[in-house]
Amino acid sequence: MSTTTHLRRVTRFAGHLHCETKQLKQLMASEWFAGLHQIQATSLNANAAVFAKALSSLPNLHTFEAKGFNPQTIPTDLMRPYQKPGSSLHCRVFGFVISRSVSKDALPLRKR
Amino acid sequence: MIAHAEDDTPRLVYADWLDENGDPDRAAFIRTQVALWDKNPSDADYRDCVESLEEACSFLPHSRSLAPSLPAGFRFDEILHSTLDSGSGGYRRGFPHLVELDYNYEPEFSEKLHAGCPALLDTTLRGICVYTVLPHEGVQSVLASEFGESLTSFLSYNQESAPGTSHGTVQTLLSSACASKLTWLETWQDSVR
Repeated sequence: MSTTTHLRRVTRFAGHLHCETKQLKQLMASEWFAGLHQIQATSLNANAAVFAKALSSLPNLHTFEAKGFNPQTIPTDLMRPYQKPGSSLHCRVFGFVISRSVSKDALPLRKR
Repeated sequence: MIAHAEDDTPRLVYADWLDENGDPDRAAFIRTQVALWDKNPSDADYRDCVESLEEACSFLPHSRSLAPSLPAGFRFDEILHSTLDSGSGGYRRGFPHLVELDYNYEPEFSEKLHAGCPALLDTTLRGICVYTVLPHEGVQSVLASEFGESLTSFLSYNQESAPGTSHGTVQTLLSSACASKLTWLETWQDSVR
């Protein structure tokens, strides 16, 4: 007997996003990116607005973690998608100092 | 396990066999890595799973190699501990998963990589990691192989920061047949343009 198992695993992206905006847009335009479940992003400052716009349209995203920049300077655009009523997205933002420690010490900024 | 690399069941069955045949430490390593793999940090038991994995790793000495034999141009990172927070090491779900492309500046490097890919299909390796700046052709030669089509993980470091190297590799990867199975993508850069 032969059976085929199709597992739909969690899809993850982790990356340093202080890259050229063109490269980031190409990545976010892919079909693969649209199906993402988890994202960990570092050095997002320069592309925060571009990234925030893309995040708001990812239907499967349940975890977004941003690390490596000052929480006091997080652009408003970045957080706006998670302020929707009823959002189930788990979102954590790490500052420069906190990002050097393990995640259990990080402070959840938004969790709904 | 090789034929159904994405299925956890054969791995857990093997862990049971290890328990019954005097290797409970490796069995625990397999179970804890499998348990953690599809968790996300917001799960209530995520931190418990991480701590269980750390404990299992502490009983499995680094001197005990579980690495597969590899063809020329590839190498394996023996570090055992790997989580979503700390992605180092070549093991995932209890078995070797990530292989590094080992650029050695030899002529016909890309051809050698491509020639080695069929042997990788006979292992549990289903991910590649590119730490050093490789010629674009080197990465492409792997992606174009049958092994490339089986990939579920791709980790790229510093590739986009060196003009003339593998610029655009990620975009090529995501628009290719490899993307259909890809569940893990990492891209990192040291130098920022």
